[in-house]
Amino acid sequence: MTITKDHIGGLVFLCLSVAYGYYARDIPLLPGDEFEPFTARSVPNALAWIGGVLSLALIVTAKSDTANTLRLAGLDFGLVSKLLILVVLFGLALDWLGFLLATVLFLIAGYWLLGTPAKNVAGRFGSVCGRYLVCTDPAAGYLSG
Amino acid sequence: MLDGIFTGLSTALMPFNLLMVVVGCFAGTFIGMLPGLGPISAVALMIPITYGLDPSSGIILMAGVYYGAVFGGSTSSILINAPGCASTVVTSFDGYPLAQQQQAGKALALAAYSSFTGGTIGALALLFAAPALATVSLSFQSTDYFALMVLGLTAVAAFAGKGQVLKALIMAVFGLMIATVGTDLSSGAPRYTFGSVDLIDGVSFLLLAMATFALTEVVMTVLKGTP
Repeated sequence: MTITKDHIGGLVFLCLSVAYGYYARDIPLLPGDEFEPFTARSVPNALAWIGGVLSLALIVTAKSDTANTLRLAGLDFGLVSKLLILVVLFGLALDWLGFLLATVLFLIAGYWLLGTPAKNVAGRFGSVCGRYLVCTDPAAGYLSG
Repeated sequence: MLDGIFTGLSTALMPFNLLMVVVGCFAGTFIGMLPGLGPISAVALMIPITYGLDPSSGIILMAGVYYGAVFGGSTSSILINAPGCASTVVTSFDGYPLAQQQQAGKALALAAYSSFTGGTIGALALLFAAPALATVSLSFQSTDYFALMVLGLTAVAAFAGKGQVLKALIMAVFGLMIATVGTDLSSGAPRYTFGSVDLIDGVSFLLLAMATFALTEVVMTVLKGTP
């Protein structure tokens, strides 16, 4: 049997549905909700079941043709991993350093990682600062007004 | 009715208000082009400027900004697959593949013509159909909203390509799963927030669109190593 993208996609969504259904138990209920037909958990439980059934159906009905197989050769996972770690660090740095500094540092690291020529970096700094000023100054006037 | 239409037209065709339309559309298009900024952000940025204007000119300026931002969002959708609002998500389906085939100019021009034609026909239709629509909207109850949502969700399967119905339904369910993140509207219970304050309001549509389209495009480009 050939494992295709549909099989992998179905399997991933099945795992997601199981995890989603598992964590539906953590949703707090109001006193007396155990006697109610519809609670905050009802929709998540229904979605988890529907998701599980649909993903199983996808796994079962997926065709095993070779044209749909997953080919990983030639893909640069190392660089993507570094970039995604950088995005996570940027998200964390936003709280600590603020938008302007975090974005500038993110751009420096991103350009260095992707090997972009340094002359383009200066232009992007201007873009970040300009965007920051456009988004903060008029909005700040509006909020204070 | 005709009196109202002529009064509205005489206000709209005043030179200063026409200038407001041009300025609003230009500013809206410029802001809408920036990935991540949609019509709501654009209108919010324009609010301080409308303080000094009379009410009709201010509303005309904001309408121009809104339309301009919706059109401007199609530019980032077509060129870098980063829609700024819900209405430009569909533009990226055909526009971005066209841009990849070196037909970005054609896609942008088509988006401009379509935006102008759709906006003009829509405004004219609203002009005459507004009273009837108001009656219908007042008769809309919870069951009608529910039926409309069911229609929208089933349309996902109806419009899916041949052999893609299951995947389309799975994506619809995935969308609903993401929509359940945040505070439950009926009971106020937090769902899937995992103790994070940032998730109490749920996942914003803009964030989801950027993650689905723009981030995926970036990751695929880096994965394949093609600029």
